[in-house]
Amino acid sequence: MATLAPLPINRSVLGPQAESDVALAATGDRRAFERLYRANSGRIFALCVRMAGDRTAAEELTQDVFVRCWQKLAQFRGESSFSTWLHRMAVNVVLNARKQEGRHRLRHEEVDEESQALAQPGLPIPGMSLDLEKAIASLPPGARRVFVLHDVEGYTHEEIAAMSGVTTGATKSQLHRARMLLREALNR
Amino acid sequence: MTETEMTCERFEERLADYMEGDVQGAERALLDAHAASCAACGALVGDLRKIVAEAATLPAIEPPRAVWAGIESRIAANVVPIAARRRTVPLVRALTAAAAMILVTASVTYMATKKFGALDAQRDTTGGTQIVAHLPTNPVTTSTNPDIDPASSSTPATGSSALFSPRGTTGVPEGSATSVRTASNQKRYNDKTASAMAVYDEEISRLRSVLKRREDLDPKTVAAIQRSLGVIDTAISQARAALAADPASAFLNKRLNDAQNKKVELLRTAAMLPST
Repeated sequence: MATLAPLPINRSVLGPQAESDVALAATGDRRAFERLYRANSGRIFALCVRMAGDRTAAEELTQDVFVRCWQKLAQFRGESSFSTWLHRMAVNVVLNARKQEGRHRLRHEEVDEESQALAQPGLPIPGMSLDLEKAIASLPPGARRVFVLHDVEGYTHEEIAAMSGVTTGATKSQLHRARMLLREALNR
Repeated sequence: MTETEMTCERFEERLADYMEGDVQGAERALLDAHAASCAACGALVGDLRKIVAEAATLPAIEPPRAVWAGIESRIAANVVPIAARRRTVPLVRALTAAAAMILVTASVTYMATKKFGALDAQRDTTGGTQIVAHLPTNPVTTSTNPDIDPASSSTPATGSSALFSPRGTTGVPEGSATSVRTASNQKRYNDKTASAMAVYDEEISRLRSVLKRREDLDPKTVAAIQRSLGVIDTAISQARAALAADPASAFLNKRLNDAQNKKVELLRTAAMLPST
């Protein structure tokens, strides 16, 4: 069986269990990797659902994220927390999938996608949680991705712009558009 | 600008920057004052702040159990480098399933073949050229097609034979248990892909033979078919290139199979078009 070199992990940024599981998983221990999956899958799946706006696509993307994680574990050096490292990987997987999909889509479909209005009406803002989820899912893809990354996940405009290959002006514009569309949907 | 000069229109123009904290000093004070004194603008800011606050507290969402099962199956044989191993399973399954569908629906091709006498035309090397002359070349001799490694190919080939050619190497040291297992997997992969590719190639070959006989088709129709085939072949090439970077992506595998099936469907439709 092929073995990987032990990880030089920065112990200060990992909890004891995660630290142990990351090290074990990197050597091929699938049970340890499953524990990492159990501890992180909710947040990663939520990111994929909200970014993709589609649960089926989110399931495939979540699989891709964790398989990529399995492949790349040997490169994890503990300079950030495992969950932060994994989360950034998930964002990249989702954004790359969007790019790949975009290359397959006809030009007019792109235009339709970005000019798409909110498809589903929401309910009044008071007590909005589930309604906010629905409203986010019905946002145009570009606005949705920026909103999720900024307002849900806490990335800065600079980080989003770098990951998406656009300017911070564009991300700010998309964010404001998303918020205004959400307000409109939630006030209907 | 004084407070009396701040209008609702101006407020909305500056709202995005205001919400992001990008407005400072006197202008910020003006906007604050307007939001406090104008019911409509105040409500707007209040709603947006509530959305921002709510978004930051959205909960995690637990994925279905099937997600882990899918991951587990993809990482199961962890002794083999994943880039070399994973490509075989989803591609072979998807490809064989798609090829099976081609067999199930081959009656359409049979009808077109029967109608236009293409079986005889297969031996007729001087047949018509209206469409076929412009069709992307689709080699039929699957078994002799050279290996094409998608991970190293920068110029993806068109046509079904090139799409599913097995990798030449797996990157696993020879002689190890891993290499034996990998070689076994590779052989199984080769056998299945060759079989599935043969189905595609045979189907496309028959349809091309039918189309050779269709000199009765309108030139505009022929041009439209050519354009559509070009788009589909581009999609196939792009899907294959994307799969080279991420071979296990179910999404990309589905895209590739969809494009393959679209090509067969288009050829079948063209073969069955009525005479003009």
